[in-house]
Amino acid sequence: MPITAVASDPEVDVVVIGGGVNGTGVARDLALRSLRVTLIERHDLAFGASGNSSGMIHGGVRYLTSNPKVTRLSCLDSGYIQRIAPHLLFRIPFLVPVDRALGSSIFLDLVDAFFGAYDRFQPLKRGKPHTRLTPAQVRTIEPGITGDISGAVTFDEWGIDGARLCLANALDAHEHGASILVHTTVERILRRDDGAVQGVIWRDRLTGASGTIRCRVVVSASGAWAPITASLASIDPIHARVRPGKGVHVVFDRRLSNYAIATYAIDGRQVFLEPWENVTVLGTTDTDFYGDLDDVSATSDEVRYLVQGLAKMMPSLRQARMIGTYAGVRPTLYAYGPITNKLSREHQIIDHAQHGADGLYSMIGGKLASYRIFAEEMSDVVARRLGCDRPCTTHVVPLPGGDRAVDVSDLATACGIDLVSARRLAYRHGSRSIEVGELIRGTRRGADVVCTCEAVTDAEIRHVVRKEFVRTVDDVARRTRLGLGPCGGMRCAVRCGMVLADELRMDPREGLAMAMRFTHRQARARAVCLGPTQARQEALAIAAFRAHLGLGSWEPW
Amino acid sequence: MAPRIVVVGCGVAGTAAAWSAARTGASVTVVGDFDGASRFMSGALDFRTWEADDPQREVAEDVRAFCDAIGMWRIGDRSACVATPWGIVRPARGRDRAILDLAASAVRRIAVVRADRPDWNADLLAAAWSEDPWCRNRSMRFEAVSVDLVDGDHERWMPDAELAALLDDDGRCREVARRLRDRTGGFDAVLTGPWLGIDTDASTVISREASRAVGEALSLLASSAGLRFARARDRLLSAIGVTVLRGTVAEVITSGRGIIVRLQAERDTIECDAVVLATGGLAGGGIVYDPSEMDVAREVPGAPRDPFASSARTEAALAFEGHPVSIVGSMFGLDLARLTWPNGAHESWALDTLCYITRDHACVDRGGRVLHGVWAAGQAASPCAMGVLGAVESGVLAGRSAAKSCSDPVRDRCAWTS
Repeated sequence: MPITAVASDPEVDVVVIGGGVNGTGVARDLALRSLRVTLIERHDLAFGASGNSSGMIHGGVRYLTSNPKVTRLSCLDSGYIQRIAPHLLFRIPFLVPVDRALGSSIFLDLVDAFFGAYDRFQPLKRGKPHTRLTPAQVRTIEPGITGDISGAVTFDEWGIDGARLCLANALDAHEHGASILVHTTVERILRRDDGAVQGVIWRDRLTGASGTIRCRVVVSASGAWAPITASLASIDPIHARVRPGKGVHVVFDRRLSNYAIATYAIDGRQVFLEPWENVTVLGTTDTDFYGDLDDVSATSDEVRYLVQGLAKMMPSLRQARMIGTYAGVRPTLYAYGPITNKLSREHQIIDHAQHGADGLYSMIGGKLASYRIFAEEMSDVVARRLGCDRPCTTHVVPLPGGDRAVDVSDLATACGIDLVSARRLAYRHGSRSIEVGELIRGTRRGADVVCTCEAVTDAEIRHVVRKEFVRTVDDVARRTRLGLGPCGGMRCAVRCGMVLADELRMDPREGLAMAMRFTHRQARARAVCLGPTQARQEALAIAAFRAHLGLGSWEPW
Repeated sequence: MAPRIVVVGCGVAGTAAAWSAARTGASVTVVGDFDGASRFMSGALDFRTWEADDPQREVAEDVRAFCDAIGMWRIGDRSACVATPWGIVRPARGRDRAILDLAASAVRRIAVVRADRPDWNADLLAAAWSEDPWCRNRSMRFEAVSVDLVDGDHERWMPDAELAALLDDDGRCREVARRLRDRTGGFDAVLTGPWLGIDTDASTVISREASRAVGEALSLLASSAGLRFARARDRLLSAIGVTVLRGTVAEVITSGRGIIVRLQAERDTIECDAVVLATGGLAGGGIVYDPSEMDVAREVPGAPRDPFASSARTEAALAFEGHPVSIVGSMFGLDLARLTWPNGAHESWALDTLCYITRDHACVDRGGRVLHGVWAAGQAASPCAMGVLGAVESGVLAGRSAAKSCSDPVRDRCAWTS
C-alpha cells in the first residue's frame, strides 16, 4: 500500500468523508463555489443518523428559553430549506396535551405563553401561530386522546424526508462537478512529512477495488463515526470525540392521527407520535451507544418504552399495527455529566491543524434542521483556506427538483399512472418527476407499480439507478421508500432486484441476493415489534419465500 | 363398529391423514376452517425445503398413492426442475401438473409469454432464467414472446387464480392453445404465469393442441397451485366418503373414556376414538403466538402466561426450540429480538420450531405421558420447516397409526410408550 500520494493520482481540492446531510451539504456548498470535490460514503447516502431521524426540519423550539438566537437561526434556516426544496416539505401540526396530573391550569398557561413566544419566529418559516384548546376541543380534533388532560396547545413544524434531502444535495453537488462515491470507505487519510493532509486511500466495499485521490483538504462529516475517521489520519480519536446517542423510532402502518402528539415517557423524557408520509412514526429514545455503527437496530425494550409513553395519552395505540423500527446514532457534542437528552444539539468545527494535521477538519454534532448553516460555516472555512472568495449560495439556489411546482394530475395523465403514484413521484422528485415521467412512457412496462405500498414504478427504480448513485436494493429503498411500507418488501424486493440487475448488467442472481439481504434486514427490524397476528404473517411470508428460494443462506444456487 | 377418527385441519397433512385413515376402513370426519399454509403452496413438491431435501430419499409407496389419489400432483422417477417467478430455476421432487418441468428431455428454447399483468414481467424473467447456471449448462434459452392471453383491463388486474379459472372453460382453453401455437413456432416449450386452469388439466389440453409443452412457473403467494389443491381435496374427500365440517375446534377433551371434540361456533361436540391434530404450525394458525404484549402500556400486564398456545385447547404439550413451552421469566413474553429470520447463521426461524411434542406422531401431555388417541401431523408435529411431501408423509403415517390404534388393545400401546 502506498503511504504517500503520487503525482499521477487524480487530484481534487476537497475530499468530503460521509454522505449524510452534513457531508452532502458541504459537498454541494463547495461545488457551487466551483471547487473540485469528491464525496466518499462508506455505506449509502443517508445511511446513518440523517436517514434515521424523526424527519423534521424543526425550528429549535427547545432552545427558546435558553438561547433564543438559536431558535431564530433555526427558523430562518427552515425558511431557506422551504425555499430551496419546497417539494420535500410537508406541514406537521403538533398537539401538546397537558396532563392534569402536572398541576392546575397555571401549567397550561405557562405552556400557552411559551408557544406564544415561539409564534414570533413562525413567520420566518411560514409556520402558523399556536392555539390553545380545551379538553373538549382536543377530543374533537384528535378523538384517540383519552388521557385526563387540562387542555392542549398546538404548534407548527415541517416534516421532510431526510434521505431525499441528502440525495438532493449530493445530486446537486454532482451536477456541479463533484464525484459521489457510495459504498466506498476511506482506508487511510494520507499526510505529508510536515503533517498536512495530501489525499486519501479509498476502497470500494462492493467490488474491492481501491485507489488514491490527492487533495488539499479533507472534511470529515462522518457523524458518529467521527473518531474512527480521525484515527484514519493517525490522529488520537479523542480529538474528534462525540457522545453517541442512539435514537429509535417505531413505524406504524398508515397515518394514525391528525396531529403529531408530543407527550412524555415513563422517565419524563419527551416522546412524540407523528403522521409522516404514508406512515406514523413514534420516537424517540436517546441512549449512549458504543456498539457497531454499521449495524444499529432497535430492541424490543425500546419499542415497549416508546409505546408505553404514547399509549398513556392514546391507549388505542396498543392495538395499532407496527410495521417496523429504525435506529440511528446521533453525533452529539461530547460532554461528561449530562444525561443524553440534555446534551447540546449544537455543532462544532474542529481544525485538526492544532493536532498536527493541517487541512483536516471534523464536523461534530449538528442536526438535520441546521445542516445548511453548518455546511455553510464549514465551507466558508475551506473556501477561505483554498483562496476561493465566492460566497455561499445554498440558501437561494434551489435543490434539484425544487425549482418549480409540478401539476400532479397532468403528470398522471401524461405518463399513464394513477394519481397516488403521481403524487408520491412528485413528492420525491419535484420537477424532476417530469424526467421520470418520460422514462415511464419510454420503457416497456415502465408504468408497472413494483412497490404498491409506496407506489414506486418500474421506471422510477430505473431512474434512481441511473441518476441517483444506487448500487443495491437497500439504496433504492432509501431513495424511493420501496419496501418500507406495510408489506416489508415481501412483494417488491425481488422484482426490484431484477430491475437493478437489468440496469446495472449484473448477474440476475446477484440482484436476487441483494433483495434477500434487504428483506432479511427489514424482517430483523420488524421482529422486535411483532404482535400475535403479525408473527403469523411473518411465518406465512417465510413459508412463501422457502417455497421459491429454499432456506439457509438465502443465496440462490 | 368402524373406529371413528376426527382430523382437525384440512390442509395437506389433514387431507392425507383423512385419506389414509379412511383407507383402513375408519369412519373419518374432517373439521377444518381454512387452508392455512397449504393455500400458500407454490406448486413445487418437496419433503423439506428443497435445499434441505435428500435427493436420494425414496418417495414411499403410500405417498405416491396419495398424490395419485388427489390427482393433480406429479412425482416422476427423477426430480423435476421448475422455474420460479423470482428469476431462478430449482429442483423439485414433484410438481403440480400445470407446472412446466424444465428437466424434461429436449427442452432447449423456451418462450416466456408476455402478459400485461402487474406481477409478471416476461422480459426480465426470461433474462434472469437464461442466466441461471443450470439453464446455461444445458444451453437453454428463454425468450419473451407476445401472446394475447389477457383480454381487457379487468383481466389485467384479476388475481392469478381467477385468471386461471377462466381456462377451465373448454372454448377459452382451445382459443389460448391456438394463439400459443401460432405465436411460438420454433420453441420447444412455453412458460406462462400460474394461469392454466384450476379444476381442469388445461396445461395438458393446451400442450396437446399447441403441439409443444406448455406449463407454468411456480405460483406466487397464495395463488393457483394452492387453490387447485383446495379444490382437488374437496373432490377427494367427498369421493372417499369423508365427512367434512366447516368450523374451528375449541377443545379436545381426553379425560373421559372416548375423545370429545368440541367445536367453537355452535357448541357442537363430536365423539370419537382418535383425533389427529393437523392444524398447521404458526403459519397455519394451529399454534398461536400469544404473549401479554398487548398489555404493554399497562405498568404490569394482566398475568404471566405461556407465550404460545394451540388454537384448540388440549392436554397435548407444545415445544419451542426443543424444550416444552412454559411460563417465561418476563411479564411481556419472549425477547422478540431473538426471533431472527433464517439466514446463513440460522437455518430456521425460532418460531418454526414450535410444534406438539410427539412420539411417532402420538402426542404427549406436559408430564411426558402419551395421550391416548391424540395424534399430530404436518407442521404441527414438525420442529423444522416442512414441504408439501413432508406434510403428506406425516399425515399418511398419523392417519394410519390413529386408525390402527383404535383397533389394537390399549395395553399394546402402553408397552410401546415405555
